[in-house]
Amino acid sequence: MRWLAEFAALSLIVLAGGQPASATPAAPVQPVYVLCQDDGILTVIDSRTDEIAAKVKLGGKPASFSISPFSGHALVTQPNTGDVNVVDLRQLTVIRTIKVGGEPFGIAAGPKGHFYVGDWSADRISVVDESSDVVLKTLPVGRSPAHLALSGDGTRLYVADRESNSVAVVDTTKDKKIRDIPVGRAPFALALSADGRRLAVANVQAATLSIIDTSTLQVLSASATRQMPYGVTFTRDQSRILVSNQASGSISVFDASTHVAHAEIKVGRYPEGVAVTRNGRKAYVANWFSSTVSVIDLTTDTEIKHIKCPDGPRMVLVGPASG
Amino acid sequence: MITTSRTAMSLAFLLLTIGSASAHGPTPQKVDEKIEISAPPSAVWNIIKDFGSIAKWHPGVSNAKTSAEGHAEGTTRTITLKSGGDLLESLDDYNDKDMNYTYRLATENVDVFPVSFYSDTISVQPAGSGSEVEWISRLYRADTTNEPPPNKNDAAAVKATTDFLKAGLAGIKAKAEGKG
Repeated sequence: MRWLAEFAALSLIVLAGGQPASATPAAPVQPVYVLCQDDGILTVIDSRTDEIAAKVKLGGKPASFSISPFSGHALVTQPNTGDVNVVDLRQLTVIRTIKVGGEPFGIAAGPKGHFYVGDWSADRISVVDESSDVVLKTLPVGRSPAHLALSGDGTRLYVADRESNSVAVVDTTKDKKIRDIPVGRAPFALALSADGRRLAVANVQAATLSIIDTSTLQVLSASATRQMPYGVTFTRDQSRILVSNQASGSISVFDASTHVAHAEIKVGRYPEGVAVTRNGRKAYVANWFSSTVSVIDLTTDTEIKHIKCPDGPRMVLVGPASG
Repeated sequence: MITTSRTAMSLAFLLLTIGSASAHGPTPQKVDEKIEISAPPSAVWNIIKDFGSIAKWHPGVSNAKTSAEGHAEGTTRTITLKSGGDLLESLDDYNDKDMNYTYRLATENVDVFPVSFYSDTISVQPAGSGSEVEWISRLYRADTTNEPPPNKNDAAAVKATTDFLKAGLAGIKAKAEGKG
């Protein structure tokens, strides 16, 4: 993964520009990416300073993105135009646009150069080759596929089929759907644990968090969250699960072994995407209505800052180059 | 002619069915309306704090009926629009101390209100010697496919919402300032 090292080195130069020359070698930066739909901007936050380091103009109304473990690029869906923008995260610019068609929404990229993108209104997934930009295949799933999650080895894809109240499980080695797992009403966001053994599903209308055992494909539990959960993530050590509650303006923190919520943290208005830094110390929350990003200290479970960002932040991902 | 109108009807039905199948489109819209009122926040909050009170202060609502007394999450209200038609809404979050509540559209009725889903928050804050009421909405257009007709697109949804919130805020102001 040479691009990872290059990325870290280059980002360090860009983001550390203007720092005193005497500064001790800094830890590799950990960029946090925030996709702002209304302004069509991918915002880069430096998690060391919690300031905006860069803004990448995409245009359109981008809905969702994935960082490809194959290329290191961000792949961003544009539902209104049927496109996927490819963003070079070192150059911080759109390097090409892939025509996928339909209403692309959720997206997940694998390590071998294939990515998967859902079509919100055609109820299907497209399999796209990142090297040739060719749509290799389309697979039917349930109604209104929202977010997607892909196992680390890229062999297992999970799709939140919002209007079918189920999660589709796809064996990507055969490009075949192997199961529909019923969950709560209106599943929207998904998160896989780092070891791939647990899938967390946020059900918007049911206001529940479903936990699925990915080896048996059984639902282990459905815990109550607050109202309209729109985002979910695991901490990297798999000890906790964070859920954003859009209509309650808060983050619920669940113990990942008991599936019980033990804290609720107030954030901005209408939070949606949430991501945790690799060291597990901080979480970043996209507050859609406020156009801010809340920074949460996970050692104290409190909001320590909110960063003004471009309009309509919906999704957050922590960069792969980390300390 | 009968055949033609039947075809038109089934087409209309088909379009409706497609619209409601994708209840949430990919791009939510934002409406944010505020009004300054020359009355203390507690007096303004008293006017709106009951979830079922909307018919008493919104000039565009002729009737409102709640499923239960109090403000438990999940309490519903059916509002009847003066222009005709009902909308079913459900309470999500209620904060008496902070003077705000959040509710959502539970059952859409896009023929009378061209929005397939909304989540709204109304709040009262002190402002100068009086109050400010803010009413915000996160909403999706009536037809969430990529080719909505003009009466079901984002502009139609934002206009209907803006008009509804503005009329309600004016109603609260008139009542709070003793002109209602």
